[in-house]
This record gives sequence, structure tokens and C-alpha cells, in this order.
Amino acid sequence: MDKPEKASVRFLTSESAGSLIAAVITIIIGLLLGLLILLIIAPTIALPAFRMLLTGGFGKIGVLSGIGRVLYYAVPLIMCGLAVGFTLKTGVFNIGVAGQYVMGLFAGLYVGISCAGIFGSFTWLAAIIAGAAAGGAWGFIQGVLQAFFNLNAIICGIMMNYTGLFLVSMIVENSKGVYVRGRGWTEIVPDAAVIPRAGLNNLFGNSTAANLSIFICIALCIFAWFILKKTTLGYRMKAVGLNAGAARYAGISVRKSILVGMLLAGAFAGLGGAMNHLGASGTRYAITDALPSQGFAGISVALIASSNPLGIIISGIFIAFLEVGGVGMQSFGLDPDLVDVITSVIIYFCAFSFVFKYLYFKLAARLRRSE
Amino acid sequence: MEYAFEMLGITKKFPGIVANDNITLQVRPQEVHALLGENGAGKSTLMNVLFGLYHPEEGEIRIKGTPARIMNPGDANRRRIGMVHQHFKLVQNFTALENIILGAETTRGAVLKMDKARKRVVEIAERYKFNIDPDMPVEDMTVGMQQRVEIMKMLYRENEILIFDEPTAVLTPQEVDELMKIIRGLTEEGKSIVFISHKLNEIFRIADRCTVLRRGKSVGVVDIEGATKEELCEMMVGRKVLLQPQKTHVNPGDVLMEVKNLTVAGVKGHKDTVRNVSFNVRAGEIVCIAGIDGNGQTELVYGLTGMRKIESGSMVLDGRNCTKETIHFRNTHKLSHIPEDRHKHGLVLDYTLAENMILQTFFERNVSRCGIIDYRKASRRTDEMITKYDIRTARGPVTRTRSMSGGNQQKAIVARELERDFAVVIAVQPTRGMDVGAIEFIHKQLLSLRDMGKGVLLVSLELEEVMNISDRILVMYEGEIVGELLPDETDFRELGLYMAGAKRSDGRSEGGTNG
Ligand SMILES: Nc1ncnc2c1ncn2[C@@H]1O[C@H](COP(=O)(O)OP(=O)(O)OP(=O)(O)O)[C@@H](O)[C@H]1O
Ligand SMILES: [Mg+2]
Repeated sequence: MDKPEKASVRFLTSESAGSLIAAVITIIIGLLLGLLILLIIAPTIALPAFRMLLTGGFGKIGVLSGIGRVLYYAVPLIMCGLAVGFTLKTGVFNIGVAGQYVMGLFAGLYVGISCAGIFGSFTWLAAIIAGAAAGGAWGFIQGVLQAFFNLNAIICGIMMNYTGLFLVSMIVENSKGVYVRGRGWTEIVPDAAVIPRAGLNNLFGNSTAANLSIFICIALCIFAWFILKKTTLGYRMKAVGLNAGAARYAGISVRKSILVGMLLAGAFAGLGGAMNHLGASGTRYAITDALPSQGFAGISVALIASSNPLGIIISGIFIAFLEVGGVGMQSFGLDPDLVDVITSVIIYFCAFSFVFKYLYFKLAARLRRSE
Repeated sequence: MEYAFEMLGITKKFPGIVANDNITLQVRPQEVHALLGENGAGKSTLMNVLFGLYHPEEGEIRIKGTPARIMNPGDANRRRIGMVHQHFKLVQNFTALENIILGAETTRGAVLKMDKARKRVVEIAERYKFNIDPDMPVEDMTVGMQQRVEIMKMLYRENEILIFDEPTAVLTPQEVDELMKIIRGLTEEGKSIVFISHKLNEIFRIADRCTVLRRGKSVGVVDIEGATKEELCEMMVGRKVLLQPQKTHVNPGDVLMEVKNLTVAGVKGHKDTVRNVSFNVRAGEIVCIAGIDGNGQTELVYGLTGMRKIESGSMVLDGRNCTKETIHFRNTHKLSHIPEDRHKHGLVLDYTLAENMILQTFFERNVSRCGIIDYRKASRRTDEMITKYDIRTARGPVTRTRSMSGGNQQKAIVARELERDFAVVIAVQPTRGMDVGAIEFIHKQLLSLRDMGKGVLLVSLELEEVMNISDRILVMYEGEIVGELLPDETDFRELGLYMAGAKRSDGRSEGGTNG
């Protein structure tokens, strides 16, 4: 009955196609913005540096090390993206991911360093589970504050971020056997606590830290997708997110949904923190008063993917790709801070993808009408 | 003669459905033109086309003979077209005043000229006898009040063509009378009006002509003078409709719901709280709570369903004391609830129809296993209800409920609640927004459930509904039950006196207490 061109219009204006197209448009504009900054600050090397940004993630031709590096960088980004996207589905904007991430990272390191004697070659597993538990607990506390004390999610998240960060610093400084006094950092993680490479070193070379955790990431994204799509828990969470009034009417507890959402999200973020630091051998955690950037990049990762857990795998890998490319740009003599600024501009710009989604659907409606 | 406006050969399609199929609507100046049609016939769609919200695939709009392209509500407003939507479009946390002037602000520089706007709003409210506090936030208002704000919005903009999409569905009979007067006055001022309603009485009272739609097509234009209700009904539905349900006598059985000295705190903005209310609902009985909107019915229902805390008193449901139980507990222990506000509570609009049909049962054994929902089963159940309740959708169980017509959304909620396992159903305005055919069916359904020994607590503002299907009438006034009446032994007039607080069963009347 419908003419064929109508079908194509219908496809282009469908929800998922629209989200994807809007995401691509956002990314392109973000990249152009980055290029513009480069052109203003370092016009002579702008173009080759920009090329490096776009291709650095692939590494050198014939060697897969670039991709291996991307997969390593992607782990915390995907997990933080999942932590943001998962709670967004239940209507909560989880700004506290950075704090949950730090808590997880710390618990992972602590168990990794101090409990190697107990768990032997499974120390890494115990450590990342501890990370997930600590992150989950931190997320849960935030959920309690939001659900029972009605604290504003943004303020609550920011507060929990800094409380988490400084709490970690305090505990680290007072932990004998973990903290190296006078240096401001922790001991090196013992080998038993380093996550196995799962053969990825054969594929990408020993110079990269790609490891088992990327598979854990992907599995968890699929798990989250399954929860949201098929289970009663996901049904509850989405109902609360879409219409809290109707959820309440139906006897679905809004508070419980927020708590479960924040608990799982915190566990995802905490796991991300632990897996990032236990992924490579020889890492230390240095006391800092800056929140980890992954927590905020996670917001972009989630928003580009419209909070779809499967999309988050892809957007996380994409942002990691840019970060690896950014590191490559330093070889052009660009200041690392400047490189940071450029990649951050692009990454955070991606958080605006919902604006483009909105504009896209408006435009699509206009196109349909002028037909 | 020149028409105030014309819509010629309008066709508007949505995926899976032709909502308007070559419809022509011509409205004369100073005319009240009714639009009649079953739920989902395409009335709202047609009016949204006129208001610039939808863009038709085919057809032309002419205003006073000149072709007009209306691309958005702004265009419509410039052409002095105003619309009260079936589902209001007010900003919930703005006040009445802010909502009324929104988009038509008079500014001095960048500063809002609030005093002047306020003066005009108060003037309009007085002239048309709208009892509205301009500073009350919309979220605290009853639906009836919100609608008055919507009407004031049009009046404030001095619109000439006024579209009323089911304005009376949420009004009390008194308010309907007022609205009729207002509409008459407006036509005398030279305005032209499109009036959508499923209530034939109203159409006969107010309209000059009526265009009838059926399944997206126009089936004719009728001069109301000389027409009969039965004729219009048949045109609309394509068959004869029983306007009065057949009721048999049933002897009520055991008490299913026992309410004692119930006190519930008020939702802000309502006149009063529920005070010391006692009554019961027995098996095989339809008990009706009648009253003017805002006399505590909402709070009473909230208290009974668990959506608000019961301050004191008790509620026993099917032998269980539920006074302190959660909504979930009551839902799963034989209480069913058709809520007053279908968008705020009844539906998750962005869920599909099938997802909405399992809103309270998604965790039960027949819908899910080990925490995993069997959507195929849910779809099959939904298909059954679609057939049984004649729910019109574009794409069956996977239709987003947001895209369904108002009356069909209501049918879906009623279907879900009546098909659940319950002892007592609390039905608040269950037929709100439904066409005559659907109302006939739902009334039959409620009566047959009663005959099967269920209890029905019907909360209705619709006196006709109250008189037609209830076995017992309780009148609520200012949070108390002031009278218990039997439909066979009372009439509209007496009911009206009770509802207005002029009479009460304990012999006291408002005048009497002073004397
Ligand atoms: N935005 C939309 N997207 C998809 N389908 C729609 C949309 N709006 C309306 N429809 C479909 O078009 C048909 C006509 O709907 P409309 O709202 O015009 O009915 P109506 O005559 O106003 O009915 P009611 O009396 O129930 O309000 C319905 O079947 C509905 O499902
Ligand atoms: Mg309608």
C-alpha cells in the first residue's frame, strides 16, 4: 500500500535510526570543533596532529597494538557509561559515577595488594569483586540519600564524588603495607592481582595492556541490556523512569527501583575502576584531589548511545579510540594538557547528542510534512 | 455564504492507520459545530491538523475563503484559532496566571508586565464566572480547574475560532451548564466553535450542526434541529445503541469492603479532606460516590487504594484489614482500581499497549517466570482484550499508548482493571471520554460483574451514569458522606441538593443549622 520512498522515510524517522544518526552528527561536529581549536592554537601542525587523533587508535600499519590499547582504555569508559545509562533508564541522572569509580578502584587495589597471600592466583578476581562491592555500596548510599531524603541528584552526586575521593585518600594514607609513605602513592600491584591477559597479548603484542576485562565489560553490557529488556526488574525500573506516578499507582516502589539502579550502577562503576587499575602490571594509585575523568566521560558515553547498553559498548570504544589518538598527538610536540583539552572538548561535546536528536526529529517531521 | 473556516478533503495517515480519510469540515460564522464519532474515529487528529500540530498528506484549509497554510500552533494562533486539548497541555509547576499568558506575554523590554496581564486574567475570570485562583500552581488543581485555565488561555488570546476537544468529559453537570452558557455567549460575540463531545445531550443543547465521522471518514453533516439522538448514534456507530442499560435486581451478599471512620489528609488545593467516612460495599452491588468534583472523592480513593496514608479509621477488604497495607499489597489482594487521571496514573504512555496491560501483574506466574517476562504471552492476552473491549489501535499490542486516541486509552485501562482478579473494583469515572457504544459495553460489563458477585465502588460526576447503573448512592460533600440514596427513590433534583450541600440525610440542612 505504501510507496517505497515512504518506507525509507519511515526508517529514517524511526527512534533507533534517529538516535544513531544524531550520534554520528554530534560526533562529527565535536571533531570539527576539536580541529578548529587545533587550527587556532597550533596552525602549522594542526592537520597532521588531527590525522593522528583520528587514526592513532589503529596504531601502526600491520601492528595491532593501537587496537589493543583502545580496548584497554575502553574498559573504564564502558563501565562508567553503563553506570550512567543504566540509572538514566530509571529516571536518575547518576553524577556520582566518579566517586563510585574511585571507591571501586581503591577496594580493588587494597585487596589486590594486601590479600594476595589469601587468594593466591585468584587475587585479581577477589580484587575486582571487592571493587564492584565497594562501588555498589557507594552508589547505594547515594541512592538512599536520593530516595529517602529527597536530595537533589546532581548535588548529591557531586557531594558523594568528593567525599569518596577524599575518603579514599584518607584510608590509603593510613594503610600500612599499601601506602608508600613520603611518596604519596600506593605499592605496586602484585602479579597475582593483575587481571589475566586471556591471550590478547598474543594478538595485540606485549606492549599493550588489553586483557580479560574487556570481555567482562561486554558481558556486563549484554547482561544490563537483558535486564532492561526482558526482566521484571527492568520493567519496574523503566516504568519508574518513564512515569513515576503510574509506577506508584501500580504498586511499584519508586524508592526500591532507585536503590537497585544505584546499587548496580555503582557496582558497574566500581568494577570499572578496579579493572582499569588491575589491568596492567606495575601500576600504582597516587593520592590526588582531582576526580577521575572516566566518571564524567561516562556521561558522554551513555548519552551518545541513548543509554542503550549495547550502544554503550560501541560508544565507549569510540571514546577510548579518541583518547589513544590524543596520546599519539603528543608526538607532535603538543603539550599534554592541551591534548587533554582538545579530546575533552570532543568527548564532552558528545554529551549534547540528545540536543541533536531533538533537532533531528524536528527536521525529520518537517521533511515528512513538505513531501 | 462564506464559511468561518473550511477543511477540504483532509487526509492524514499514521503508520498502520489512515486517521483522516478525505474529510471535509465546513464551519459557518457564529456557529457551534459539533464533531461526533466513535473513539479513534479521527476527531482529535482532524482538529490537531487545524491547529497546526499535524500536517495532512492531502487537503486544504481555508479561513474566510482564503487558503491558509498552518504549519504550527503559532500560525494557528496568528489566525486566531485556539484549542482546548483533550489532554491538557499546561505546565504543571506554573501557576494559572503563568500558564495563561505563556507564549503571549506582554513585555516591557525583557520584563514581564505581570500586573497588566493579571488584571486581564482576573477580568476574564470574573466575566465568565471562572472560579480560579491565578496564583495556584496547576499541579495542585483538579482536572476541572485545569480545563478552565485552558479555556481562559484561549479567551486571553482573543481567538475567533475555538476548538473544544471533549471539554465536558471532566466537568460536573453544573460546570457543563456554565460552559454551555459561555459557549453561547462566545458565539454571540462572533466566534465560531468546534465542539467535540460523546454526549448527545450536550450536542443537542448547544450545537447548530454536526459532522459525523466513522473510522476516519466523514459520513455526513446533520442539522441538529430536526435530528434525533438515535439517528445520530446509528450514523456514528453503524448500529442501534441502547442508551439505557438493562439492570436486573440482585440481592447483595457479604460485605466485601468495609470502611470505618476513615480520615485522609487533603491533596493541596482541594477544598477539604476526607472526614470520618464510613460505608461498605457488598458482593453484587454497585455503590456510587456522587458529588461535585473536589469534595474529597479523590482523597477517599487515594486512601482506599493506598496512594495516600489513612490518618485514622480502617478499611477492610475481603476480610483483610488493609488500613496500613501498601498499594502493592492491595493490588495483589483483590483490589482493582480505574484511576481518575489516565495519564498521570493509568498508563506509562511510552510503554506499548501490551506492556501497559501487565502494569500490576507483570510479576505473576502467568506473565513471567523467574523474573523474566514472557512478552509473547502478554501480547496474546492483550489481543484478547483488544477484541473483547474493541480497543482501536494502529498496530495492535505493540502500539505505543501515547499514540492511541483518548477514548481508546481509557478502554485499555478499564479492560486491564476489569480483567484482573478482584473482589472490589474502584472505578473513578470509568467511561470518561468513551463513545456511546463503548459506554454501553462498559456499563453492561460492570453490571455483569456485579451479577457475578463482585463489588463495584463507582466514583462518578456523571449523574446519568450514577442513576442508571448504581444500586446505592452515597453523596459526598466537603469530605463527608452527607446522604445515602437509592436511585429508584430519588431524582436529579434531590441528588443535586445533596451534592450542593443544601440537604443532608441527618436532617440538618445548611440553612437549618443557622436557624
Ligand atoms: N500521533 C499519532 N501517532 C500514531 N497514531 C495516531 C496518532 N494520533 C492518533 N493516532 C491514531 O489515529 C486514530 C484516530 O485518533 P484520534 O485521536 O483522532 O481519535 P478521536 O476521534 O479523537 O478519538 P477519541 O474519541 O477516543 O478521542 C487512532 O486510531 C489513533 O491510534
Ligand atoms: Mg480525541
